[in-house]
Amino acid sequence: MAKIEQFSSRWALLLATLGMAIGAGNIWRFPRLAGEYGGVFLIPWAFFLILWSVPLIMVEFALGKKTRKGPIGAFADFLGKKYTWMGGFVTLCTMGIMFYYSVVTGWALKYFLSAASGALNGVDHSVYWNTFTSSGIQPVMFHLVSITLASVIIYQGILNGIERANRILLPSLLLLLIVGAVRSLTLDGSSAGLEYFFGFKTEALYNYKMWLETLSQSAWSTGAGWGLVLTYSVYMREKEDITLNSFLTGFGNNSASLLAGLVIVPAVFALAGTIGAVGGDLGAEKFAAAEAALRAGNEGLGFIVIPQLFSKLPASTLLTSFFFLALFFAALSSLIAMMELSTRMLMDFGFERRKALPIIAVLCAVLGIPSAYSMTFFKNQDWVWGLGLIISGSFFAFAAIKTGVNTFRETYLNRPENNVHVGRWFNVVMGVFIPVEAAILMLGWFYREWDVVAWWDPTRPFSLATCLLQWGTLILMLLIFNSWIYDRVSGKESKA
Amino acid sequence: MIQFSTLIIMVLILGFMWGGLAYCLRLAWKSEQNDNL
Repeated sequence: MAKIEQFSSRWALLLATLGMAIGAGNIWRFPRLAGEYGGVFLIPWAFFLILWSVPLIMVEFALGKKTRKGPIGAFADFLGKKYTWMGGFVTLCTMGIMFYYSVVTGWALKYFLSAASGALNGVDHSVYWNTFTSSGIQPVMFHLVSITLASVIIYQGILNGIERANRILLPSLLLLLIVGAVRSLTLDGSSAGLEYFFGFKTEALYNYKMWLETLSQSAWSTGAGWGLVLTYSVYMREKEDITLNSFLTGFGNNSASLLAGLVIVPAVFALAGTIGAVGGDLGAEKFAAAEAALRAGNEGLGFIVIPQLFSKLPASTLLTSFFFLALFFAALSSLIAMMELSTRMLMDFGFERRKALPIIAVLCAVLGIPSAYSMTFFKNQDWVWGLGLIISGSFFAFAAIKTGVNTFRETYLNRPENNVHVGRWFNVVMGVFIPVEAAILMLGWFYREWDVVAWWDPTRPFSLATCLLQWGTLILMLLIFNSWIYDRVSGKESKA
Repeated sequence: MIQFSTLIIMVLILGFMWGGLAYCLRLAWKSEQNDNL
């Protein structure tokens, strides 16, 4: 077996892990939610970092470091043959996201190029967005360019590709966000945005959607349970710490989210009175316009409202370009992690990187096309595989619970090379909180999107049936081929 | 004008996240320095 490449240092591993975690969701989803629910949203969001994200990141780091294999091989080696399918679900769920995430990366690239060339100046942003997404060929082309860029980076390997790219992408992203936050906070009227962002709206406490969104944001944003941390930990040095790196990943990701919030929410409030028919300087109207802007949905906020608002500022071309470049860097570094997970899967099956990567790139290119063509398909995939991540997270919790949470903690976390001692709180969070949270998340989302008339219809993009059909088909196939997959990832195929 | 309660939440949240990040970075930095000795 070829020697596995390693990240050159702790900082290189951390940059890659943070690059993976900080994605489009930090820049367009978090500010939208934080703006909608205010400070009441932020408090449980901070708690859920410890009650969901960090412990699961620890489990991922531990599994990857121990087994030195991607999720399929890791579950097979760690839990045994009959649980191989769980690693398969984790892998294919994240791949399901990768197929449409490359489309999002393409959108960000297209908008960066449009902004930088001045093509966004003076246009109707709503029409521009709808024309672009419905044009078919353009989203597909940018989706393919994104995959090509990510592939070129991954092809160079861990040291020369992923590590080097993240040394540029992540610091640049943070710099762009800091510049954006300073500009946003120095606008006249930005304090109204801060009031909205951090204000304590007690009525939100009684809204179950707020609790669902805050837990979901924690579950999705840090990358916990995606199998991506596990994939990068395959390449960590033997003496590398797990526990402190897990905290650094969680705190680093959430700090970047707050920074993105400070770019967007104050700017929306400072500039909202200048857009559309709602214009004017009257406080109430301006406030209503800002609220409407924040509730425009992820794509609406990112690709319609933000360029519309920034166009009112001096040096708008530069500022809008910065915003979309930051979004592109965030998305690309996450796409790289997803493609590396997929490549690692084939490498565990015995392929060399240089043969595995083209297969994954072609697969991603082909299976991403439906999402590039159809927003309905895109939203369906986002719903099905986004929710599937809760199942993936539960599988990681299951790995620790089956080992015995205390045994897991003492054997894999409280080791001499780890910088932080993990106390008994881990046992309670992993053994009790995470399973309960996973159940609440799953039931909560189905309740929220429950369609009395057509929940059974799998052709409806947000129905229960579409989830059950796609997850069920995947799990059934994985169970049927469980032994075959196990033999290959565990290197026993010649004896079979 | 920002209300006092908003200011408290802002300080708490930013302090927890950015302070937590800074503290973890300091621990990591010290650990790397010790490893290099």
